[in-house]
Amino acid sequence: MSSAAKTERTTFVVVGSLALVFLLAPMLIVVLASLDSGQFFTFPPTEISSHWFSEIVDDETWRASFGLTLTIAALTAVASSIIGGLAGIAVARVSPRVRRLMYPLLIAPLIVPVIVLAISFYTLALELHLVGTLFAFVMANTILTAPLVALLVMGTCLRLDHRLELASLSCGASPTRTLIRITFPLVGPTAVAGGALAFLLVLDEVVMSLFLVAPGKTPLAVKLFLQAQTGTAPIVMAASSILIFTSLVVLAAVTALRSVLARRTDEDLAPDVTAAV
Amino acid sequence: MTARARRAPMYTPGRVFVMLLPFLAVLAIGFALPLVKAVGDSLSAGDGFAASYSALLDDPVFWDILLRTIRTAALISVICVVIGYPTAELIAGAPARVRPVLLALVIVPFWSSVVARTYGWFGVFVKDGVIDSVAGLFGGGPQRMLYSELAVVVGMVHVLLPILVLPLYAAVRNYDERLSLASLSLGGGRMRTLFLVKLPVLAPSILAATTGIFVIALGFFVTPALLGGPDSQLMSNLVSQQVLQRYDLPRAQAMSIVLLLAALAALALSAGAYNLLKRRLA
Repeated sequence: MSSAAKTERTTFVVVGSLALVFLLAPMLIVVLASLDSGQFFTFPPTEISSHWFSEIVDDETWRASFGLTLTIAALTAVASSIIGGLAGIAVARVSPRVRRLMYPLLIAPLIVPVIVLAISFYTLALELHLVGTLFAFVMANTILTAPLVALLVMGTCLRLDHRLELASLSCGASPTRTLIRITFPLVGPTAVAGGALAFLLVLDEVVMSLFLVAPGKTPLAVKLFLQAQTGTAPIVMAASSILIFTSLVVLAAVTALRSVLARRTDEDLAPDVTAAV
Repeated sequence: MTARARRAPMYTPGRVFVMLLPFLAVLAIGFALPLVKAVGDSLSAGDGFAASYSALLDDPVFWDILLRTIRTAALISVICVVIGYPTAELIAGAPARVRPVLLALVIVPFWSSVVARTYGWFGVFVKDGVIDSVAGLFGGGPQRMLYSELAVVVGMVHVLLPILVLPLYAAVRNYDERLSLASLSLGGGRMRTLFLVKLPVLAPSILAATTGIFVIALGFFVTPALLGGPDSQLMSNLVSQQVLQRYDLPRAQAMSIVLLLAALAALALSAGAYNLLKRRLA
């Protein structure tokens, strides 16, 4: 390697490594600081304790927030994998010209700033007396997650061998039967992975839900946000740590699903977490 | 293979429509209807047509925050590209065994809670936090960095960097290294090859990823709310303030529509530039 080439590579490695450290540092700080039992932010922690974690578990309002968030997240995950999955297959199976027309529709909720969606949705929910209802929370979140699942499923579907469907049809299966027995099983894992990622997004969703809260109906991320706004609180660190670990677990599950599928089927069909960007 | 041959004849327009129906229903109820209503409400509120907009345009505070939002989003986009491109190169050039690990270091923060990650920065900047401790080791006093524009920029770069690195990594992986080899063998230096061959080829991908960052940054809410002071709030924070503290919904709607127009303008500009770049490369 010439010295100039070495300089170039060294620059990439140094800047890139610093960036990776930069990405991880605050997450490590949150997790470590949450282990301290003191009233104020202490880093590094002076002792290791689960004090603030038991505080969360014992607190009625935090438990209620957790419960509400898990309910919203589960319903949103199921709704967006079905709705987004069906839409993803449909958009992958029209002609490229029609797809180009449908594509903006598919991603529209993703390019509009979330605050714009939040204010608009809140106005409608206010008029229809839906503020604080489970329906409003799930709807508000599905708007953001269904397009994501649709994009993932569309990607998988476009790489799918269409001859599998043709074979089923020519063997006499009806279109509905083909869809249920051939297409759904092939794109199912991607839709499930998309649902899992939707679950993660709901755990963290603040802006849409912020305006929809009602007494006793505060999702975890909103409660966390409102607490964090009042300043330093170790309990916020503990709740943040729980969220970070939840993300790790869900991501590990999606990755495991991907590697199992990659071994069992065509590598290309395994859902790709990075493709979700 | 022609496009027509790529699909089974079972996908009739009727069946495609039925499959799209649930998505279209959600889009209509949760997106289109509210948006149309917000535009309508904001135009008809107050005395006369678009009164809330003219009030807004006369308000220097609104202009101040709009310009600050655009400036901050631009600054963050630039910082993200300068840090993010080398990171993408580092990952793409790493040995095959290390690459998944480095990729995970980007993907895990990407999918982790924004509130949690922002709160980590809170711990860095807060009085007697990480920075103060480090400064203390060198005999420095408290740095008072929390609630500043700097804290907001650092926090936002942290949240947005993975969103840039992942597509750039894909672009770098797809780059045909033979182009650079050709340039080098013809006597182009390393620097000239990077800046005159490789980066121009990657330019459309870089532009698309950066536009994504810019538009998301325009609507950013959580990070400035937690790390910023009164002087570093962005448009989203102003909008939510109108609703939660001043109960002025038409004003909030008008503000958010202006923000939407800014985002759409940025997207249109970028799409134009993207097409120009693509055509030049073709």
